[in-house]
Amino acid sequence: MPLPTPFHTRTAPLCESHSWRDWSGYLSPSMYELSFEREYWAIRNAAGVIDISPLFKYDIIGPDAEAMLNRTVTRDMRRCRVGQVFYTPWCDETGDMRHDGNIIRIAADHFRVTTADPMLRWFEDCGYGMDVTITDVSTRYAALALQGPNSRAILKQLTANLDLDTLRYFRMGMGIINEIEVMITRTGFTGDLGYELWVEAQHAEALWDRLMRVGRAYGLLPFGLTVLDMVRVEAGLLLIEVDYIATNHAVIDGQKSNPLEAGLDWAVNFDKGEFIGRKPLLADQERGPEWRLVGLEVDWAELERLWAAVDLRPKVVYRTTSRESVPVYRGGTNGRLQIGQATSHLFSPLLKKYIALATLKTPDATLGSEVDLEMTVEYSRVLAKAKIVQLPFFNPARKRE
Amino acid sequence: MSNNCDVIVIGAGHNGLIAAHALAKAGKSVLVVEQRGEDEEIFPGFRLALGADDDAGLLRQSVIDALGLVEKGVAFVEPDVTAFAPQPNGRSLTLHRHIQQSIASIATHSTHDAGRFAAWREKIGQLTAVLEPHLHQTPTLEQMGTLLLGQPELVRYANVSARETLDWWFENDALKGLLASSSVIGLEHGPYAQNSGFMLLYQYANADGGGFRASRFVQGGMGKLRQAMVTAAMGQGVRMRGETAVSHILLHDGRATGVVLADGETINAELVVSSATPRHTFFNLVKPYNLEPRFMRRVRSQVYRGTTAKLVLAVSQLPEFVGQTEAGQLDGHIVICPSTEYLERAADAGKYGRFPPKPLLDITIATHHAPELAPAGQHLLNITMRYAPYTLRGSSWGEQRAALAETILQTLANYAPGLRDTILHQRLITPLDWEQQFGLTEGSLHHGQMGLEQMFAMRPVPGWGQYATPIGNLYLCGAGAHPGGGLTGLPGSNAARQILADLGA
Ligand SMILES: Cc1cc2nc3c(=O)[nH]c(=O)nc-3n(C[C@H](O)[C@H](O)[C@H](O)COP(=O)(O)OP(=O)(O)OC[C@H]3O[C@@H](n4cnc5c(N)ncnc54)[C@H](O)[C@@H]3O)c2cc1C
Repeated sequence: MPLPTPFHTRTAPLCESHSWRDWSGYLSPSMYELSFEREYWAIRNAAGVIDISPLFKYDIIGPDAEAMLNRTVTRDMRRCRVGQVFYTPWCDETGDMRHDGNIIRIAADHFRVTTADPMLRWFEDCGYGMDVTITDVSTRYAALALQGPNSRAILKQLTANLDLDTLRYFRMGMGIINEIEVMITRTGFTGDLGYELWVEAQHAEALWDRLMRVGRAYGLLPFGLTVLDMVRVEAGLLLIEVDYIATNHAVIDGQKSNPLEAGLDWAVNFDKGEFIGRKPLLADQERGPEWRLVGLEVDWAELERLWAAVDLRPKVVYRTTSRESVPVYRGGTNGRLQIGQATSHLFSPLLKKYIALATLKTPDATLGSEVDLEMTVEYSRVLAKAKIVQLPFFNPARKRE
Repeated sequence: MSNNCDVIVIGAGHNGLIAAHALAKAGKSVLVVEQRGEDEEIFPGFRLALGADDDAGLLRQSVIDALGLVEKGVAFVEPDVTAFAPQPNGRSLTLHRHIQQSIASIATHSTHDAGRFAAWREKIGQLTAVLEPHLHQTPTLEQMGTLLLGQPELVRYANVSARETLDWWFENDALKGLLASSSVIGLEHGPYAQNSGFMLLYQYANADGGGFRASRFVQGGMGKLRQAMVTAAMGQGVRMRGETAVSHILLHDGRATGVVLADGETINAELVVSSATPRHTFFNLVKPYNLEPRFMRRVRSQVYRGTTAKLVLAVSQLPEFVGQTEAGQLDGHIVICPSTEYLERAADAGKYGRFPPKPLLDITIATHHAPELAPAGQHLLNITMRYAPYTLRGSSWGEQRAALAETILQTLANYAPGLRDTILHQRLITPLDWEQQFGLTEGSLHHGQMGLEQMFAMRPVPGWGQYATPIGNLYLCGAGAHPGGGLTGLPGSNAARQILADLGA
């Protein structure tokens, strides 16, 4: 049986659907209601909150903490100032992606890393022989992601000591809520305005109660993993084991991918000196990576055209993200050639388009060009005209403002 | 003159010197840096090459020839008696260089075993003959496959415990104990454990026919052998820097570019070749955080766990042992190991972090073949003891030194009752001392145990068994590389050959 998170006493009674998932060994609501819609629209139009306590959390502390992380990840951690948060991938010695996560710089010699997969041994191995202590604090802290356009207004009601108007995107501040110390980072997995709140586990319920009481007036609703998986695709954010396979999970080399292939070239700093995987990554950069992560869009007219053939309206709405990968081709129905695959795809209720995160052969991955995405229309495989578009699909100004 | 050179060799042990010699001979300018000084006076009036081993039986003829050691004055002493084993019941067993004499001595204990001994020796000879060429090659996985698939007898003998193979052949405890004493050299576990079968073969490779393991001494002491190696290397233009530790290896872009010495001096080189242990090389000289984590983890997981202590005694006269009938019986190894069970019980103590009340003792009298090491009429006894675990349970070597020395002396008193009164000086070297004074990680004689999982292409770690390392331009040439420890000279000569091949020279 999965474990309850520190918020379980609060989330369980609200989980009307009784649909739970196992997230890293914790019981985690998939959806609170039988339909995803209210949760989904709450995030985009009001505010939503999700219990993200199952994330793994590591404290990296000591005089060599910066150096240890800098050799481990692909970004230049020397440029991460106290109070800043860096999203970064990290690789193994082949340059392929081992994982990715957020790193919060709490003090000059104190970082906290949050990851989806356990990473203690890897971090310990990376820091062996350095003056640094690496501690798994996963159970010490409970965490909530408060996301959506109203999230700042709600948070302002909760904490007086922190100026949220000046807390910039990917920055961290310490807030006091109900006399509880809460670390607040302006981060999230939704691509919207949002915050993540980190609190010692024993204060979890008090934080939840206060947040929900204040949030009611702002349309705040709890949401589960199903909806998270929808909004994160709209936000163009990768999911481990779905959009890329971590090196330690890959069964064959072909399943691995490096950050350049995964659209994370902006997060690889070759100038900072040695880091794990630098050499093969540099070689790949010079050769030109074989694959590229892109966004694909199928517009409504095209969907109507496909379903018109069987006298139906497009049967894509009311569906959530599919993680069933599908092939992407070029060359139309005759002489078609597979150029890659879409790994996460859904009809975005907000954008009214079918969108997909896809990995394509680099020569076929040019922005604006047209490719064919395989879709299923009444049991038949058909090719939908899809356009390669800039990621993220949804990028509201309020995310950074 | 610039101190830069083509190759820096770290460590002037046998393997470092042999590699330096071969590289210089191929035209490289070579500098050898050694942390230790010349052999000091061990006691007033007594000299001994302490770090050095006492038996040169494993040293291969190819190495002797390549360095021209005989021409440089090295003379080997091959006493008629190779091993003498006094027994608790006052009797003794003696093995000789000539097998008929060994058989005669065995017959006084067991006619059954005397009848089998020549056939056993021949069997071991056949197996080591199969093994031998593989020890001279750069190992590959294919080679391991060839051995595993093509040599079932070798696999059978190498893969079981020494107790097993000895029980296949013999019945007598005194004989089996004496033979088993060779099977645990440098190992953490006893003769009932795997790896002892292989070590037994390893110690018999290069042996002559008499029945004890490869054994011979150097006239004038082991220091003479080392000096001859230095002379040979310098004859090829090798430069030597003694009493200078390498503080770390210089890296640029994942490649070794030279070394920094303890005094801060920097020396640049095209290649750095280390005869220090792999753990010392990678963790102290390269630093773990300059290695990719998976390789680092492998080095961290390497097994060292030294179990050998040494007690050196200066005595005013030759000892007399029980069961001894003539003086010549003390010319070779004097082995206190009356049965495989005795040895296993000694190993049991070590396994649980203690040293045993009844240890294995392997004694040689250095002054037999090197009388000049001591004042006339006085002698130096080299006593190798097992099992002295590197990590003591609930105690430390600082606390236990005196107790260990006492245990050794008490054991000795049972077999050489008068010896204690003749002791002039004594010095104990624990596994911790080996580490701190000789750079032997965890006091492991063989620079990492010679368990089958750390042998051949898996020495020092899987994936890096060809002397090269993940650090570009950094090679290993010491006992931590194939084929391993013991004074064979093979890691050094194999490494040099592989380096030159890699350079395309
Ligand atoms: C007590 C003892 C008894 C043994 N008895 C025998 C025996 O009788 N017969 C036998 O065949 N084998 C014996 N062995 C095993 C054998 O000695 C070794 O396996 C073999 O000599 C290893 O040789 P090497 O050249 O590879 O390493 P070593 O002889 O260990 O040489 C390495 C050298 O590197 C130096 N070094 C290390 N780090 C640094 C640094 N940072 N800077 C500068 N220098 C450095 C060390 O001081 C050392 O001199 C014995 C070993 C020991 C310890």
